[in-house]
Amino acid sequence: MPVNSKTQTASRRARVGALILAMFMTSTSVMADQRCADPGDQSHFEVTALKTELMVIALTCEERDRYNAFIQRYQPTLVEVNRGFTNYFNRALGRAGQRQLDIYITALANSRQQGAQVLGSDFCPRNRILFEEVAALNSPADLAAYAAGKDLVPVGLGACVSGPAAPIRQASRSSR
Amino acid sequence: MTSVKLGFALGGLVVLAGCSSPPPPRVSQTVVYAADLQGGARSCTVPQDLTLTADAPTTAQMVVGNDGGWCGLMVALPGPHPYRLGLITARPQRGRVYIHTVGDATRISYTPDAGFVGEDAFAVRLMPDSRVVQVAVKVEPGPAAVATPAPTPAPAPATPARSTTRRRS
Repeated sequence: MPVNSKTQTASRRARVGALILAMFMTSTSVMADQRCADPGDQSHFEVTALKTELMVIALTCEERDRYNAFIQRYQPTLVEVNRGFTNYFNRALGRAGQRQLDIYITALANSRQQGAQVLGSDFCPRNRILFEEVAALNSPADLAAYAAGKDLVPVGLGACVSGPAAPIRQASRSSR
Repeated sequence: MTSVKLGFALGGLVVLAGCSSPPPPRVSQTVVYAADLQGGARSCTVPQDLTLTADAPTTAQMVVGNDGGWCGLMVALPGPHPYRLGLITARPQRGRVYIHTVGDATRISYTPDAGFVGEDAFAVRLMPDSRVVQVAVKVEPGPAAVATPAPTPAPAPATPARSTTRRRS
C-alpha cells in the first residue's frame, strides 16, 4: 500500500506540476501585464528578471567577469531579493511554492534567451550597456528602482500571477 | 591695376564662399538598433526637445493610443548625449516603463496595459545629475478598441502585423 500511496502522490504532484506549467504557458492573455499588489513583491520579480537578463548577456556575449562583478557587488541585495521572491511563492502557493518558483525561473530564463535570439547579432552590442549601468548605480539600494525601469518581466509571464490571498496562506503555514 | 582689382574680387569671393559653406554635419558616435524603432504606438504625443531642470522636477504630458505599442519621451544631456541610467521613483499603475539609450538620447517608453483607457503617471530620476521628470499619461482607446465591425460578412482587411514588430519579446 505504501507503494500505491507514493504512486498516487507522485501522480498528483505531476498533475499539479502540469497544471502550473500549463497556466504559465497557455494563459498568457489572461496574465498579461499582471503585476503585484505589493511593490516589494513587484521589485523582487523585477530584480530577478534583471539578474536573469544579465546572466543571458554574460553567457551569450562572453561577459562572465562583469556578471561576477555584478553578483559580488550586489550580493547582499540579491540574497534579500531571492529570499523575498521565495517567500512570495511559498506564501502564495504553500507546498507547491518551490516547484512553481522553479518553473517560473526556468520560464523567465527561456523568455530572456528567446529575446536574445530575436535580436540576433544586435543583442550583445545593444544589451551590454546593462553591465555599465548597474556598475554606475550609486548604491545597491538603487538596484530595485533601476530594475523597475527596464521592463524585463515578460508580459506573458507577468508577476505575482498566482496571487491567492497571501496573508491567509502565511498564517496557515505558521500555525502548523 | 586691373589685375589687382581682379585679385581682390576673387579673394573676396573665396572668403565669402568660405562663410557661406554649411558647417560639417555632426556625426553621431552611437548606433540606433532596429529593435528600438519597432513596436511604437501609432498615436503618441509627447513634448519635443524637453529640457530637464536641475532645481525642480520637470513635468511632461504624454498622450498615447492604446494599441499595444509604446510611446517614448526622448531626453538628453547637452551634446546631445544620453543619460547614464534612469531610476523609477514613482511607478505607473496601469502600464510599463522602459528607460534605455537610443542613439544619442535616452528614451523613456511607456506601454499601457492591454485594454486600459484612462490616466496614469510615473516619475523617473535620470543619472548622473539626478534630474527628475514626472510624466502624466493620458491613455486613449487604440484603433482596435474603436473599430466597428463591418456590416457585411466581407473578409476583414488585413491588419498590420504589429504584434510581430514588438520591440522585445
